[in-house]
Amino acid sequence: MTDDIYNKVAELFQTQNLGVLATNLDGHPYTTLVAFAEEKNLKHLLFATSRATRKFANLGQDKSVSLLIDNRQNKADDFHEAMAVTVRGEATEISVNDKPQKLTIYLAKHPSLRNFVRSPNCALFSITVDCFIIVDHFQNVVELRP
Amino acid sequence: MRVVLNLSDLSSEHQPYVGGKAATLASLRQKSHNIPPTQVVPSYVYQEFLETTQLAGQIQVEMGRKDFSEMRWEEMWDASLRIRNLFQRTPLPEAIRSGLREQLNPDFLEKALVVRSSSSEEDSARQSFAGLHDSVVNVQGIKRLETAIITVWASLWSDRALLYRKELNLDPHRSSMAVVIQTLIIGERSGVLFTQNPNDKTTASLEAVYGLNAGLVDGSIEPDGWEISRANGAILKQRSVHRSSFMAADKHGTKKEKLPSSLENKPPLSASEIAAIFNLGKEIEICFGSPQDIEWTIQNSIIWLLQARPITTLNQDISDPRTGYLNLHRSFEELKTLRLKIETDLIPCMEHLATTMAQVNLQELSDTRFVNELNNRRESLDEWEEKYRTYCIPMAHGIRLFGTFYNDLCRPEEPFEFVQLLSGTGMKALQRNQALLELASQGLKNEDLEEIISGDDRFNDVTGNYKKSIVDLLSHFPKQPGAHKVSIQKNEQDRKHLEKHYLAKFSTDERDKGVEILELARASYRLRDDDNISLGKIRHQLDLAEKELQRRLKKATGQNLAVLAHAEAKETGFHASTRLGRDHSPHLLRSKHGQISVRQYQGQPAAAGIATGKARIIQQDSDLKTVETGEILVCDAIDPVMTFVVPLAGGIIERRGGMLIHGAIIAREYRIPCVTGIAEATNIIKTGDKVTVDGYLGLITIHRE
Repeated sequence: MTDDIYNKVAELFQTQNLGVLATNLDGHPYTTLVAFAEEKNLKHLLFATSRATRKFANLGQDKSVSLLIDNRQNKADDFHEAMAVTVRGEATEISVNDKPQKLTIYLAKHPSLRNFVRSPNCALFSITVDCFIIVDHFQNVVELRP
Repeated sequence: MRVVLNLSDLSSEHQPYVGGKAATLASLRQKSHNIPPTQVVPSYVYQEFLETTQLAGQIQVEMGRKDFSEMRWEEMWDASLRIRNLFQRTPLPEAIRSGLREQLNPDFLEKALVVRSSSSEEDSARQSFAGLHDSVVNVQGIKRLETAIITVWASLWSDRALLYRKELNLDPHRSSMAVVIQTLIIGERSGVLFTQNPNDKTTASLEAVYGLNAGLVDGSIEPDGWEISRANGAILKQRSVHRSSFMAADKHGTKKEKLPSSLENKPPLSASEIAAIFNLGKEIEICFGSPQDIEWTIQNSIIWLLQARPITTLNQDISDPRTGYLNLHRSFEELKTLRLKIETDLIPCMEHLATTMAQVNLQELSDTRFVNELNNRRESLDEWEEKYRTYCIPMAHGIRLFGTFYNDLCRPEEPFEFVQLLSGTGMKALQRNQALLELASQGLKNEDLEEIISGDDRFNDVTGNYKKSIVDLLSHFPKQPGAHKVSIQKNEQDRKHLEKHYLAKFSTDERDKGVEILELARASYRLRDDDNISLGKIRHQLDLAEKELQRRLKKATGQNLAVLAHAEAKETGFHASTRLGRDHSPHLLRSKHGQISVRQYQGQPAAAGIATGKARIIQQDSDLKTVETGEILVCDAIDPVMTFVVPLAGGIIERRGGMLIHGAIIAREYRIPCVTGIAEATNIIKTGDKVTVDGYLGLITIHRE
């Protein structure tokens, strides 16, 4: 069961490019779409954002985030076929020293974002995963703590 | 959108939308065979119906409760009933309704019709769905036609069709259904011709009945039969039967009627008619290039072809896989016979046998006599389990048959409403529990209670640890003052109300039939449980003998026992069913990738209600006496002999799935929330976990910090 669930999460992350990131400002949740990349062991996920964004400001106040990644296709099949993973964790900006290595991982998945992430105004964040909450078959819910 | 296509307009480009049956009928018409006036509702109309009404999503939810490949038949039946109910409660969208009214042959509005399935997979040379999807015979008027079309569409999701698709590894979500609408030819004689016998390629096989073909197809009327030489048309064998009834068109639908005595001794076909049908069959076989299974009827001496399809079982080593699924269909007539056998023969015999066995003091027998007794019990159990499979399990189909009948008639919001109508019929399990409750209220000492239970025939499967468990539990019972009396009274009120509602659906002259059908369904429901208890008593007696064998083997004395030592002891009853070779790993599962815990899991809603409480895993009989009031029982299945613990439970979670399994039935009687079909239940939950059982949605939630 464990390997099976882990592999399903890994496969989902490999096949999806975007996720919905929730940040928090004074108790108000705020969601945005971000391009994410997963590190090999799934313990960290990367995303990039402009420093002028609302989510960047929110993260300055509260590192707690939630990221929803799913494979729905907006069809009836979704109720049976779709899988969603809610990632819970803390997002911190990658330091200058670590950035080249993490950028390699990020750009391997999103080569088209090369110019975006190289902009001085763009910050690269890493989410340290606390747990994955995995939902499939519409209502089956399992938690995985990597 | 073309909602209705004329048979004369069909060409090869329509093949993907009209299904095999309609395409075949179009070819036969082109060859100038006698085909009843026919139109087709193409499969894209079915797709449009699913999308416009959002039924597609609801089907996905129902089928998504579990992986299709892991579903037990009972779970498929439950899903199938829910889906059928969704179809029945969903009217045709206006675009389809108006298209149907405008494009339907105007003559059809005045005539009796037959509405048949023509699914995209049906009647291909690779697989036949013959008999697996519904046909509706004798449909009159546009409203009934609309209902009939929906009924045929829904049959794409019938338990039989789902099982067959599972066997063939076909995805039911990819299936589609066209519908054939024909005028009903009320033939005087009807039948089926196999132009090549599936078991003998040198012969053809012909069967015929008086009246409509529906009686032959559903198995309720036994046909006369002929084996014919394919080479020269000579009749090689004739099978005559006792002819007593025929299927006739009723006001709406069909009914079985008594055959006029003048026809009882006359075969339905003459030699010249047999030759004519055979020759017609050969012609059609040549036309399609393969042996055919042809349904026909004769009206005023004209042979009408109703449908033809390739025979798919030729040259196969295995028997037709459909056979098992077709057996799922039982008529009320067959059930009446079964009921009589079970009530007057099987249950009394099982009870008598168990009582006789219980009178034998195993420990006092010599080794030789003990070996004989043990072997007799083993043989007896094998024999009765076989009888149970042959007679008792099919009888349980009466519940299902009634469920479909009730839903067709009453269109309830809740597809399992009919179960309420069947409950409260004096099941043995409940009578036993009632007796226990009464004992509990008397405040007897434990020794006295043990003695009373030992002397009561109703509890002769309750011994050893069980008896101790019961006695321990009885001390808890008074803590629930009147709770179950209230639920039983409430059940009774609901039942009376529903019965009134059900019978009001029948006209005055049909009411007796309605009462008879309900009575049979109630018997089916009651026997479903009672026969289990009786068989359980025999199983329990064997269990005692196996334990005695183990005791004697430990001593290892005597020649006969040396022989027996080579025999593997059988595991039976509760002890075996709760082990099943599974490892009970903890609820939190660790691996190199981390720790996994299940938060919420979806099973089947088997008894309505919501309960939150401490989980109690039941894996062996000693766990029973630890149960405390209000706990959530988590088990493989509520075995009939452990029913006594149910009144204490706040909720029930079972590994086995199904609305009509024993535990679900008992839970509903006591109005205890129950979810079944949580395959990993005993692995993902541990005793003491806080658990919520949502018996409305079929969900369990394990509360974690």
